[in-house]
Amino acid sequence: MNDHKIIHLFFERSEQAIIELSKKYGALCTKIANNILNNSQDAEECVNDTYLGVWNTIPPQRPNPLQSYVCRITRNLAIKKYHANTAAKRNSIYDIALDELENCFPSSSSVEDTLDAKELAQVIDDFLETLNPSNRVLFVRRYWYCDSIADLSKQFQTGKHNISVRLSRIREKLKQHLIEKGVWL
Amino acid sequence: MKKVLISEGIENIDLKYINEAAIYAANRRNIWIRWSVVAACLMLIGMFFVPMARELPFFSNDLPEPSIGTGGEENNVSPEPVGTGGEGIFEYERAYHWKIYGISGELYDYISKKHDLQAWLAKEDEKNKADKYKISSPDYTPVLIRIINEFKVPKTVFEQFNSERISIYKKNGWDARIADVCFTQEEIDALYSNDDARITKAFSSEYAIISGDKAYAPCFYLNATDEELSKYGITHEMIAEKKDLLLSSPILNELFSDLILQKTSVE
Repeated sequence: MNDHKIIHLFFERSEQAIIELSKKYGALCTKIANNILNNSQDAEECVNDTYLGVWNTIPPQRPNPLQSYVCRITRNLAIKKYHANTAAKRNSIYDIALDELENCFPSSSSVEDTLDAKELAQVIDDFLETLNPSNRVLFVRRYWYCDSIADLSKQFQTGKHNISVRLSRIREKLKQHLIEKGVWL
Repeated sequence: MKKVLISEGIENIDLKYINEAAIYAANRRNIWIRWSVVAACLMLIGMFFVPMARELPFFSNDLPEPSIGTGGEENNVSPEPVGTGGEGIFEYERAYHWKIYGISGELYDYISKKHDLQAWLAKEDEKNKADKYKISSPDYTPVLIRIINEFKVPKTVFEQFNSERISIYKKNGWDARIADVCFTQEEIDALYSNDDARITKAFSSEYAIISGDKAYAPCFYLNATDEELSKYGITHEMIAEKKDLLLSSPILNELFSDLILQKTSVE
């Protein structure tokens, strides 16, 4: 079923909307949540909360594309759950991805004094614009979708080592970009 | 705190990059799926003659099983109008409110007791593939109106189903959605009037241009030649007046902003 029809069902307040949404995007949402939480039960709860979130916001919203909208809600919820769960062990792909990125940024006090999250997002947007599409997608899949190196290797049909090297080079470029933008002081 | 900031920074990147990554990943997977499907199809064609292949499910002209009202359940409301005549962008392709481009499950069941509505809808879908019958065509009559006329649905029956639907929506607290899926008496009167002017008044989309008694979809007036526009009494000034409204729609703005800007500029 296409996204317009799914949104149409939400507008009709039909519970079929949830069924169709889960059929189309359930697996993707579960993957994102699991990548962040590394716990299938938490991920399942998170995905159910996503459906509720979509139900509560459509209508009035009519998101386009629906996929990114749903993914974003899942990611938000998963990260909230991750932070709320203080007992969470640091072993998810989200942790690893954050560790990788952390080295691109200056020390804690410096970066937080320099800019807030929205400004940082703008800096990252500017950086993404400088990348070729393939590297841009690789970056977003790794650090937004929190895909594992193994998954990326399958998606890009190349070896894990190659993916790691490419990511490492992209991070180095990001660091240079942050220096140019004055984030590194 | 630094990680929280980085996480939030990544979280707030532009939606277009998130979508690009989603589509890219899907497409890469689809390459293999596509080739697998092509290979499978070639094998099947090799194994059977075409007439035999037409018996296979994916060659069938049957409509997908509609999720329509099965009756009997107190809160049963069909989730989706049947026979919407194609997929697309409502604001762009349709000159009228989308609720008259399909029929409710209750009405579908009612007509199907005496007629093969599914076959009729399948033929309509075939017709929709021809330009003349596309839903954005200026000569297209929304399917609900044609069904009412074709199958001579009594007005009282339509009113009864409509009032039942309204009461279900009210009972569930979905009052805000009633206007989207149910009909006012004035709208029902218009549906049964065989009067284009009344239908246009009752159902025309805000994005459509009204000329004479009929409404014309953006897909038509933004792509029509001067000759075609003239034939239906549409002027460039009428199109220009729609500029702000068309651009205010996020989906139209995203997909057709160039076309809109080009067509709504009056020299």
